Amino acid sequence: MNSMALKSFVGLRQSSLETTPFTVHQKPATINLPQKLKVIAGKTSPKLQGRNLRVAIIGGGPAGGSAAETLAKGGIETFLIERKMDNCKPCGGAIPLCMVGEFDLPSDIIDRRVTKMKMISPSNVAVDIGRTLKPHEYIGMVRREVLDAYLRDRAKENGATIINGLFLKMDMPKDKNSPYLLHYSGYDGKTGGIGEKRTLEVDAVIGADGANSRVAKAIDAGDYEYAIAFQERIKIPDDKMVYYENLAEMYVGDDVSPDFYGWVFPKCDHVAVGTGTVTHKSDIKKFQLATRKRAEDKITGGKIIRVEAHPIPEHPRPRRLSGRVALVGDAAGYVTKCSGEGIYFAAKSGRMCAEAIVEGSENGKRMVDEGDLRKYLEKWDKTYWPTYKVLDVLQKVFYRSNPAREAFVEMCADEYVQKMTFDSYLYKTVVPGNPLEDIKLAINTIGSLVRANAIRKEMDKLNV
Amino acid sequence: MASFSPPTHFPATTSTLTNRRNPVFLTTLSHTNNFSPFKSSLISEAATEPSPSPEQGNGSVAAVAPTTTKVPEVNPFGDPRWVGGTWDLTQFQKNGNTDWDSVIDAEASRRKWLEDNPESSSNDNPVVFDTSIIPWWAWMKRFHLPEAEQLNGRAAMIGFFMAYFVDSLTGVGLVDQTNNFFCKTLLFVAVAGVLLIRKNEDIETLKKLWEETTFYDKQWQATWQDQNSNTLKQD
Repeated sequence: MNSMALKSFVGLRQSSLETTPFTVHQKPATINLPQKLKVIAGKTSPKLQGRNLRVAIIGGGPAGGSAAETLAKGGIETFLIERKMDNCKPCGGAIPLCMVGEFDLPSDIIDRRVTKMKMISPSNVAVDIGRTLKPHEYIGMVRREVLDAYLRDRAKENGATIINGLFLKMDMPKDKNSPYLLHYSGYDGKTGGIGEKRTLEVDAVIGADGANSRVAKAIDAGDYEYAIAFQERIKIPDDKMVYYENLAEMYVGDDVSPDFYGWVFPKCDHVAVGTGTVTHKSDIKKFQLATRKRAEDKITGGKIIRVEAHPIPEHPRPRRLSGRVALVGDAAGYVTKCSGEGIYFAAKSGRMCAEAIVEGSENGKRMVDEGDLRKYLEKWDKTYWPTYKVLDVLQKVFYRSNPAREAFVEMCADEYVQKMTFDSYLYKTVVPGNPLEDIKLAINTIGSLVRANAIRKEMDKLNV
Repeated sequence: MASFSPPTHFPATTSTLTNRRNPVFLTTLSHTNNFSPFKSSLISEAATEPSPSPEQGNGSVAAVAPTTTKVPEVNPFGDPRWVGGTWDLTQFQKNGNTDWDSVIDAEASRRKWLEDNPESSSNDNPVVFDTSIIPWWAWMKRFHLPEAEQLNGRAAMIGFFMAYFVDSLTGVGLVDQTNNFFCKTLLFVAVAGVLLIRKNEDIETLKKLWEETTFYDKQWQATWQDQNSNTLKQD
């Protein structure tokens, strides 16, 4: 069991190599080795004298909040550093059903329960999906400021210390047991202003500070490709709002986005109309206009109350972990392709990372090391890799071109597809399904794709 | 040059206008493919052609309501055979049977029109056309057969000359060639080549496709690559 976790990562670090061999061992099995072969598990790390393990979490979104709660519950001294407590994030705000159960979210956090979705193809073929949903199943729409604040407050109740501050930089430890020194500007709740420069010493750090993560920069995690999501919040007349009572729309097409989709999501009392793209970021305003045009009939008479944009990672960073610093959530790049979903995965990864730390430190009694944090990565990759891969394949196949999108929307009309899609979305498991139906589905998919591409060939002839 | 001209679009297709003027009422979601009607106020003709207000940069408030700026109006897609959100097959009759080819042409022209002039999706006039109403043999006849003819022709030409060439070089006749393993491999390669490489650009496309299938996996594995390259395992 030990061999898995006992891999030396000396080569990764740019800071000084460890020169001091361990002096405190619990197990005599770990013998004096030359410098490069440090192969000690967390369980044999020194017991912390007179204090519990200290962990800082940078970023107080879903990832940070759930990590803080799990750490605090596990008996670890937790610090959560968040720069803007009332941050109203530009976000679709959709959470799957399983998140409500797994994270014990109260029902008043959820503004709306979306039970119907409409997919609209480039030629405006509109398909309703949601027929297969059971009465208790829904997609929850939340306001990020409400959800994030709730998770943070719950972490606080469990013993975490919430610090209002902006993380600036981090001093790397000199050896395996030295702490990390974090530099941040403390705001003390006053808005605006520069804030006071402060420092904090901790033993491990969880970077949950989102797509532009500073922690990621500090550990040289590498870059990822990202999409720009652009969204306008539009307040539409009440009678039009009735249509969006529990319905969300997805528009696909080259006019709306060359590699993503445009959406109309209902929020508490307005709708969010937006689109996104990876490859044509400079045309995002054009795509947004096109999205508004496609939804025109249903949002006429609306007033734009807010315009927002944010990067969305497309894939994990090359390095999600270094020393005793781990990345979770958007900072790690855990956003799915095809649907662009990130809230659930952020919260779950925060929790998983925290659980790994709690376990590796035996509830805060021992120091952790990189191997313990690696366990979180292993568990994460093993649990969710199939989900990510399937969504990646779907995106590659169905978001390629207009004919592919037409085929996609045609396929969505099929009940089996709807059932499979919702089951895997709501419960975050890749459901195997009925083999016979799968074969039928495969044949129908190929048929749709062939027909759509054939029509495309005819369309090209019309050009000439 | 396409013999099929784009459909004439009447400025005010009467059928669609009357639909818009009728109020529709809220019903429960119907269990068919059709849209779910909803309650809406009467939409006046003027209000349905608002131009999106010019972007004013982040943070400023702009109105989506109809403005007075005149945007050159593009007529929405209209065709006498496009009725109720789908093609009216009774108008495609030829000699008592449905002329599927012209249905395919009509749909192609509709999609082309919409690609060039995207329109708002409307709940009053939902599009419910599904390409699967066109029978499979119509697709085969129109698209698969000509292509199959072309590819089989290529394969036959390559096959004939390769067989002659191998025979002249090695003296192995056609029947003996089919028994030989190496020749069978060559045959397989030739068939695969004809199928996969239709144009010169296809070679690049295939290479890119192959990279694409494994790219995402590589991105996920990146965090483990560092670890493995520096690993010194302890037994």
